[in-house]
Amino acid sequence: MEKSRSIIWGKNRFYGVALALLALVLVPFFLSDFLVVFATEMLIMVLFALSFNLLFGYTGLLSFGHAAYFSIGAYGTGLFLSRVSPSLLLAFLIGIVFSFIVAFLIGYFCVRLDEIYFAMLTLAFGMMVHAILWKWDSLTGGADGLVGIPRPKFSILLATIEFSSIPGYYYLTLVVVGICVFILWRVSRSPFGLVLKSIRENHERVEFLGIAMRRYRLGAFVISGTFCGVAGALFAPFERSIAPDISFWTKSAEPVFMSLLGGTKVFFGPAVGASLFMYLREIISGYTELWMIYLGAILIAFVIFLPGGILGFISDKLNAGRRGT
Amino acid sequence: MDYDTFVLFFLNGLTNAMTLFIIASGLSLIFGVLRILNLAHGSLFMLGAYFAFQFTHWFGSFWFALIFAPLVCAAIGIIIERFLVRPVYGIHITFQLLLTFGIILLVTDLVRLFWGVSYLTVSESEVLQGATSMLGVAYPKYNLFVIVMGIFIGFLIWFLLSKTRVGKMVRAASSDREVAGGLGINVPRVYTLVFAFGAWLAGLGGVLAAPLRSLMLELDVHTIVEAFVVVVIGGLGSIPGAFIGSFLLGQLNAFGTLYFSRYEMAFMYVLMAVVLIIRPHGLFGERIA
Amino acid sequence: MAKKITRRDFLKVSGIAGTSLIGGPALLGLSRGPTRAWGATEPIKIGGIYSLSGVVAAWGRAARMGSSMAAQEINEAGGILGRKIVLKFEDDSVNPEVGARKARRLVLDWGADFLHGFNSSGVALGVVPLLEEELKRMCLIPCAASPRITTEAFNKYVFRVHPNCYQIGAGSAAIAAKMPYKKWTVIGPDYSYGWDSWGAFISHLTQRRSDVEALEIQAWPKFATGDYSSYITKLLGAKPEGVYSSLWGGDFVTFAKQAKRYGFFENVSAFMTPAGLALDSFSALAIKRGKESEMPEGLYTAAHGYWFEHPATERNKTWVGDFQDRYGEPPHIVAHDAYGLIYVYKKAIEKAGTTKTDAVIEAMEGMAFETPGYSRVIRKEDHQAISDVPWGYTKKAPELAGFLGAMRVTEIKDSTGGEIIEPLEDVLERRAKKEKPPWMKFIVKG
Repeated sequence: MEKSRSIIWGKNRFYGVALALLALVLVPFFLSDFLVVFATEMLIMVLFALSFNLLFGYTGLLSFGHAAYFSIGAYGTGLFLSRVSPSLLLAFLIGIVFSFIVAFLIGYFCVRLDEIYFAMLTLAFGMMVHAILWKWDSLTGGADGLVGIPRPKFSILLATIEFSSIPGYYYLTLVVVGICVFILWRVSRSPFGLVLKSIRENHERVEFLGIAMRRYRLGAFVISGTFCGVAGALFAPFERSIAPDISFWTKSAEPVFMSLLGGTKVFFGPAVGASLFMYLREIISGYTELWMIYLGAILIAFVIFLPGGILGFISDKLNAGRRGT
Repeated sequence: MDYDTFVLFFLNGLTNAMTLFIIASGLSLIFGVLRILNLAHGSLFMLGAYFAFQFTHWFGSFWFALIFAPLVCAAIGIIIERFLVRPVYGIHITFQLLLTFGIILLVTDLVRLFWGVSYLTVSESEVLQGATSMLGVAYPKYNLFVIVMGIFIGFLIWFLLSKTRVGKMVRAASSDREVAGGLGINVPRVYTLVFAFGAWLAGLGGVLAAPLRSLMLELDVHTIVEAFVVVVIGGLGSIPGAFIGSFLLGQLNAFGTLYFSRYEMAFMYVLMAVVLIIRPHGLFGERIA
Repeated sequence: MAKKITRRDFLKVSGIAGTSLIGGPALLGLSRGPTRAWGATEPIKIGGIYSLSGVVAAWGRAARMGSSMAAQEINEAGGILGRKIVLKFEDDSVNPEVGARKARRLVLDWGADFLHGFNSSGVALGVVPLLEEELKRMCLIPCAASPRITTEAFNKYVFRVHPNCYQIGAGSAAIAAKMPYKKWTVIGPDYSYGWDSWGAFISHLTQRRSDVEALEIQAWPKFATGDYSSYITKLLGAKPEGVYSSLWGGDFVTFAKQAKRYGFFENVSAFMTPAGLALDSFSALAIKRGKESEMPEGLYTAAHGYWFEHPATERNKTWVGDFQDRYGEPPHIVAHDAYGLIYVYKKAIEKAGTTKTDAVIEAMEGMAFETPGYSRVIRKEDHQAISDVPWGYTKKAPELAGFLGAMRVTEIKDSTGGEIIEPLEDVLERRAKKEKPPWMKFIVKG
């Protein structure tokens, strides 16, 4: 793990990141509005997948209910913007705090379980959140959801930034996602992150060493859920309307596939997976209505031939190459 | 609640439970023996329902569909096992889910290609139409037929597993693959057989469910989640667990709709959460590595 | 700005470049020439968003049939302002998030000049805010019927060329008021269309008849429920005289099959459904190669606003004949309205003399138009079409064996459009206050 990261980024890590950031900043200058909208959604999904993977790839817990925190973030932000006050900063905070609380409550029960039973319990709680969003119609608008969420201006002192335009919102998303990804990356490399990894490898041994495994798992669960909430908070004003469909379990399955596609054991694997997943869906569904056949065939071939994920595969190759020399 | 209401809702719950049980038992059996979590089980269920439509349309007989549609599903199950699942035995659960989800996508679009997107209906044999008196209330004959079929399948599985030579081989292969192989059991063949039988059960569930509803492309996804919930409540790999799980969920759906239908969507998830919090491996489940 | 890379360039280039580029689509700095030129010979692009898969796929299919037929006719006759029409359809999968993505793709990428769409009110409500704030394109709605789309969620880009479920519900109340039945209840999908449809019906009925009562026991299963049996037995237990059902599409078909087994239709005296018994349900419930139907006789329906045999005018008969020649089946309500919709665009664009969105919006406000079956006017203030609404009941019809299962809607009578539309002051008040409709008090969820 340590090795593979150092090879991908190496001494040139700084230049690599700087180059990628520069390219992302320039996106609205070169691409059509549609692709900028597409890139905005992609960034949101990248954050969703990366925060999911803190729990999955690093801690070894497969959650099938992460759409819950995503949608709580989205509904919290959307409700605040459309009912209380058009302050984007406060709305984001509300959404994030709510997803933090919900992730804590759900995580408390879930981290006691392992493997598929953990997955099914997260699914159960996720679907309860779905049912609440659907049925509490006086608050959430029921099946129709929140319609027409405003995208307000953002004022600091004398400067006012306009987020209602397509590039404006893209930049907002880029800044927020950038900060969050940086934090997640720091977390993954911290002593806390190392404990998580050893929990994944052998949780009995970790418990034996006297480390309160559940507390670490819960920590990972809450961090992961909260950052999913940030992704959701960005998503609500991006879509302008949100409905309970975003909390359905199929939405929870998306980061799972994205992470597996990109590679769960490399930090940026899920980011690559998220981009690839959205890209494939877009390119195939643009050409044919039978896009599921192609996506299905790709998934099957992928599991049989490339089970380490794209980045996992590349870093393995690189490692093998270096060992060879 | 008066007696008639109770019987009516109890039978509704039982009909629901038995359709679920037929599907869930196949899922649980495949997991118990092959250790594969097969999301594509929902696709086989959907195929069963669409084949039921096709066969009744071609041959004009529901009975014909009831016999042959599940067999076609079993044949498809053999193909899936041989060419897609066999190369990946022993991989991590998440990859099994990914692989079998790929199969779901594939099958959904194939069904779209062959049958289109409009909803189709299947009508049961005329013998089974209308209502009859059961426990003192008038109740649809077809629903009673489904209940009888569910109980029959439960006995069939019990009989096959505990009273036949093949069943003993299956149980041996499920408890220890290496030892079973050493005893001269052709383990790959047993696996194929179990997968085919599971697919047959899924197909049968599809045929039985077909006259109860309209057929559309979302059948697989709706069904597989319910079946998973039932299997997890009962404990993965446990057939009696799947039976009890189906029974509980069916009754909860029926009486829950009567008393607090507002929360209908959450019933099965609340049940699963409660069971898992109290018993982390399901009602009859063993700890799995 | 014209030199930006569009999705199609991007797909082409990246397709060639292959998998090495998948990680960073945004990183491609390859510039191509402008892909969009304006001119009198450029075709007018009209994008449609419908549910082409899922529980109500038959309704999306019908929209596609109707609008394609109209576009072809118009193109053969020389187009609009000398320009041809090009249509493109996208599938919203009955999911608002997907609908929004497809709407963005149609406008921002394909370059749609105009939009039309939505079978489900849920999807419509998800996309309508985007029209104003991001896409700046108008959208004509031929099917999604919740009044909220043209009241609380109204913006100037949205028009409904079809009677909404307030109008259909008010029409049904006039019929129910003449029946002797006093105890009414509902089974409907748990979202805006389901509520509003029942709400409009029962609020009008109780106004007309003080002795009518809405039962507390009601059934609100979620959209795309597979098993209605416990809802059915629950309603039967309440012993209603009349049942109103806002279920539609595949949901209604599933419900009808299950209800029949429990003797539901024999046990209630009157059964009314505004949209459940449209053409798609007739063909789905046909059995024995169309010689019989699983559908009982005597169920009241509005067929969502159009049944192909009514009105028996020359114009309608000719059109139905043309449609049948082309597609081999009679037209569904949505085919009728989507057909009319393309002609509405034609009329408004010709009246405006341009395809500029603002001018076409202005031309359309207050405009009268004809569909094969009805004459309608678009109310200026809320962009809702004023239209007559038919109601009839199901009856066996051996001459319609085959596609329709030997059944038809018979003795159809039209309610007058001006009498059943929601009063303008109510609409404007609710729009200003963003209030919930007053009829929500009739909705009881157990």
